[in-house]
Amino acid sequence: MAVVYLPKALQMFSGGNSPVVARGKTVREVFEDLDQQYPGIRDRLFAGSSIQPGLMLAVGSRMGARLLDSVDEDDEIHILPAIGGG
Amino acid sequence: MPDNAQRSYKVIGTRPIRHDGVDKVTGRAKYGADVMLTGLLAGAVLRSPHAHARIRSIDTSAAEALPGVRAVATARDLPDQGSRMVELGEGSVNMRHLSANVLAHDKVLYKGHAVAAVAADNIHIAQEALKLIRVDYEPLPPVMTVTEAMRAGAPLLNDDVVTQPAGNAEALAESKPSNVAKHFLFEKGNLDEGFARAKHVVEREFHLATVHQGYIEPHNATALWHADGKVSVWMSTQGSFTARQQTAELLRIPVSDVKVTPMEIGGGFGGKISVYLPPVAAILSRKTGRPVKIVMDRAAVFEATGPTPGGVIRVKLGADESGKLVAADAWLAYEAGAYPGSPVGAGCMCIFACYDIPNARVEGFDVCVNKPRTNAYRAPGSTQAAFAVETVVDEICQRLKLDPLEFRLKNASSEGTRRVDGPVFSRVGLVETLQAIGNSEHYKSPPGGPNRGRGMASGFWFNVGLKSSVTATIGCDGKVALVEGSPDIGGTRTSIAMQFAETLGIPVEDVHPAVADTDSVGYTDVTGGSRVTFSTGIAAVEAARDLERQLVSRAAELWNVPADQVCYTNGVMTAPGHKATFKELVAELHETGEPLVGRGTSGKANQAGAFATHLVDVEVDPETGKVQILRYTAAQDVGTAIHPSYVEGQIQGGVGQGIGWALNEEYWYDDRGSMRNATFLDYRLPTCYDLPMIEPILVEVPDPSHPYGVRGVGEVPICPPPAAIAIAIAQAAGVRMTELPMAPHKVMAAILAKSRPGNGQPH
Amino acid sequence: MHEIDYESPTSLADAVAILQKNRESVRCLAGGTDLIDHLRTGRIDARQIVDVKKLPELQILEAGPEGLRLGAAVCCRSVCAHAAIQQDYTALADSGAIIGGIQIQNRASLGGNLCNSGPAADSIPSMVALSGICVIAGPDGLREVPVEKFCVAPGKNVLKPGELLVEIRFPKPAAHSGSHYRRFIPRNEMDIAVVGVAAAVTLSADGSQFVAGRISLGAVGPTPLLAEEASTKLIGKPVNDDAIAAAAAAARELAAPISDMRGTADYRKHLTEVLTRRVLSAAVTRARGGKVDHRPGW
Repeated sequence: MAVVYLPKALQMFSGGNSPVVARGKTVREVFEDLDQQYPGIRDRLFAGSSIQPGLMLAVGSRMGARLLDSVDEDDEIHILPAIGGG
Repeated sequence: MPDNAQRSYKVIGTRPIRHDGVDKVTGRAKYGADVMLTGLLAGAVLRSPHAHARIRSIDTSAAEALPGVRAVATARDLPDQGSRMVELGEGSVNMRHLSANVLAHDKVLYKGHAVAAVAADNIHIAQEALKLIRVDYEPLPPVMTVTEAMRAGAPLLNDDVVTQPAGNAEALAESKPSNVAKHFLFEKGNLDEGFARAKHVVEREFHLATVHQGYIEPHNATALWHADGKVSVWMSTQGSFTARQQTAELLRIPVSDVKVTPMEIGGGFGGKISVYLPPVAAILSRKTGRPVKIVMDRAAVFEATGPTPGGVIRVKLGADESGKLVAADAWLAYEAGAYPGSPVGAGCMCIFACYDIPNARVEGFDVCVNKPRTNAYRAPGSTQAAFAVETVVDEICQRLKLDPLEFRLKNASSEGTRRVDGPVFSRVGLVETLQAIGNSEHYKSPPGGPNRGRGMASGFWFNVGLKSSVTATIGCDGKVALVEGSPDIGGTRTSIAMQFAETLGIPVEDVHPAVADTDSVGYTDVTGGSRVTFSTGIAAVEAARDLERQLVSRAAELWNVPADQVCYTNGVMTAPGHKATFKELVAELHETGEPLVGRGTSGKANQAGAFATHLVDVEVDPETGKVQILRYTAAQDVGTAIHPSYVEGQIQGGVGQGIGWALNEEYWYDDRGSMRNATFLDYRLPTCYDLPMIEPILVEVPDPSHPYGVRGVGEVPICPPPAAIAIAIAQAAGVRMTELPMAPHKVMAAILAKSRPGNGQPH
Repeated sequence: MHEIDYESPTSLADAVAILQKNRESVRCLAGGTDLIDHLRTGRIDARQIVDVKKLPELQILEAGPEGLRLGAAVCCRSVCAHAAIQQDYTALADSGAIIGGIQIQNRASLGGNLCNSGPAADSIPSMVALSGICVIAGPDGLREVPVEKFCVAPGKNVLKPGELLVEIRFPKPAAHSGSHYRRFIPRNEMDIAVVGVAAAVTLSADGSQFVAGRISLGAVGPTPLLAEEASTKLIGKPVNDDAIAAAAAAARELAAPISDMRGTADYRKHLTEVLTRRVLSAAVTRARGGKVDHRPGW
């Protein structure tokens, strides 16, 4: 089970809980599972087939993960604000 | 992963002359302003004299009637964008805002906001024509600070901006338009319990001025709208592909119909990612059927292109008896400028990144004000945050009578530390930079002399990965044409070529790197986020490996031996009974078969982040408040230094900009919201007389996600300087500066306030 | 920018005639380091430019027993390199050496700096402190105006349409005299003075008493000014910290600065006192035959 850290703005879906656990082999599958548990959260994470504008994902310590990136058992997934570099 | 530090390299770590060096020092390199095309027209942009006004009407008839004027454009010539968000490589953009920033729609939101544009036979006619455009403005009260803008009832900049809340998202639907575009909140542990355990608590508020990247080359663009509907653009940009996409989206034409040729670039630092001129030049070209070139003047660069935000930061830190940080609270409000998008989110994530703190909370606000839309600037959002937190850390050390180096070592983030925003650090080198400073000659020799002081500060920046493409073609003489999509700002042609040469075992001089246009190379993200040597480097390594595979199989074919008996090392191909150098083999292969073309891409790998610790000695003139930088040492975790001179150059450049930010740089506004110092005379970048030799210490903690351990180096060196200098000033003059810039008159005012009875500074 | 006519007369009479003919729309060009910049940025408008560098009277640079004759178009670099100026009119060399970089100094003139009449001009306080007299040519011949009376407002001076500045004359300083100019700038180079102070002093033969003194202040009012009340405080006083401090305090009272992006009014008043003190000390050192080792910007 992946451990998903939800930002404050999404904790309304999880009853204020974070982190929460969800199942999946990729980030996308984990988020789909999350939507099963917390209906509606999907629309706040996806825009069509990609991640919502303004969000950035981290799997473990790596920032900038993508939806198709694989997720290992016990991996942490973080949903963060997007950053820009100079 | 191999332990990179143990490996010995032939090319990596050497200091070859850069491939583009001769053309640059002889003035032959072609920059955007050098573009000359048959029938070229000169474009000029009319800019708002008001910081905030509604546009009632624009009358361009007199300008159009001026002989020599070929076309006039306004926002009416740009297609409607609706309310789309578009992902543009390094973040998403609200297209309506981007379009209104290129040419104002119904309102001007800052002085210098583009309102109309003219194309004429020459620049003088174009400029005279601007004077004939009549714009009827209804001036509105300008809102110049985050404090004003967040106040209830403040004049509103954008009626389509509502606060995206950190907490209950349902509030979003009910909320009214606001100048606050975004609210962030990060929490870790239990803040109240943390502060309850703290023996020493220091809380301070910091005020920051708006500052500009200050690149020497102004923005420019030449556009040609071809008769077949395709558009060519030549410009100075950090990212040709994102410039292409922005231009196409703004014009609402297919992305692949736009070809962007990145010219040489005279600095960017994050400021040359956003597009300003290409769509304007393009619509003028469409109207005239001729190419149109627009070059900004310095005032336009200051007044209308992205600075980095000013704002307000509050930091509260608590440490226990032993000097361990137990609680931290921060509140950040950054100026977005005219449209949402300040780097406050990044500021929030960076502010406590150097410290392992069990209980913390960080809150951030993205706030619209009547200033140009802010853009990235070297570690966007982190320098402001470092100024605040490091200053408070130093005060805590003073309270606890703890050595600042020991305190930082005790509290430093390292592999396994969980950041306030959630993720856990992998292998990072903050501790190593602290140790490097501790071992430096500088640290061991006291600053000496009256009115002198020393300051130490650390900083953090993420560094990004993103996508790059490289192709490499081996010529019949054994030299390689290396084509990449990353505009070269800091010597990356050479650092990419070096990684390629190392991998293929050939001399770097035999690699000819070239930056290509968007039709001639695969998709490549911006030169930014300290990513090029990392990510384009990976693509170059992949291209070299691709060629190596081809060489091995072709050698096997040539020598008629099984491929698994062919071995290629250090530029020599061997097989039982056969041996050939790279050049010998290539010459033979050229005559016996198809061309040798390699390709490499990157996009999966992400960087681990970079840390720096700086040490500075200053002297403060107690009668004028002027600060002289006497000595500066910057230790940085650089992963593996591919070309040490360019790594040192990045560090020195970042420190130089940080010193300017610390001491004198600021947008100086009058009460009408008009910037009064939009020249390099009065916007005071440091000159060579203001900087000592900046001594870099390269700490090499290889990033395991890169084949040679590269870590981006360009951004983090700007983070510590303002804090380090503020701390040094406190030691030299006994005053804690909480406002940037720490200009002489402000330092003097603090010194005078301290000497007045009853007005002692807090200690 | 529109088209501009260019003339380069070789006689003063021709120059005056051209200026007289076009009056409102004509501008003199010496080094052009202000003029060209202002034309390009639209701060001033001109239809005709008269290049005055070919007028021999404006290129005079002579020092003798009568004093110094400094042609209005002589460039800063020539001023700095002139042995008699380094020796006896040192403040002029101080000013010339900090106006722009070397390329600018090879073009820019002290006369041009005066005619541009900026409140923060770096050479005007030095010319005032050294008792400079402006020689002005016009349709009615020559007239003379003391430098401290030449500027009347920011960018404005006593030149009437048809007139031009020919030279600045300085009396030869008495024995045991010394002068100095120093400005305060936030950076160490490439800046406009936040405050500039020049002083010229004459000491008694043993160097113990002030015999004469002239202090001039820049960037603390609409024009550079002669700080007369501060200067007279020195006369007859022993050379010591108290006398210098009293003059500096008086100078501070005379300063009437504004707040702008270069500094606040309070700060400028404070700096006036600090700089006057430092400048007087340096002028005294020079009057006593000593060397002043001042790193610009520090």
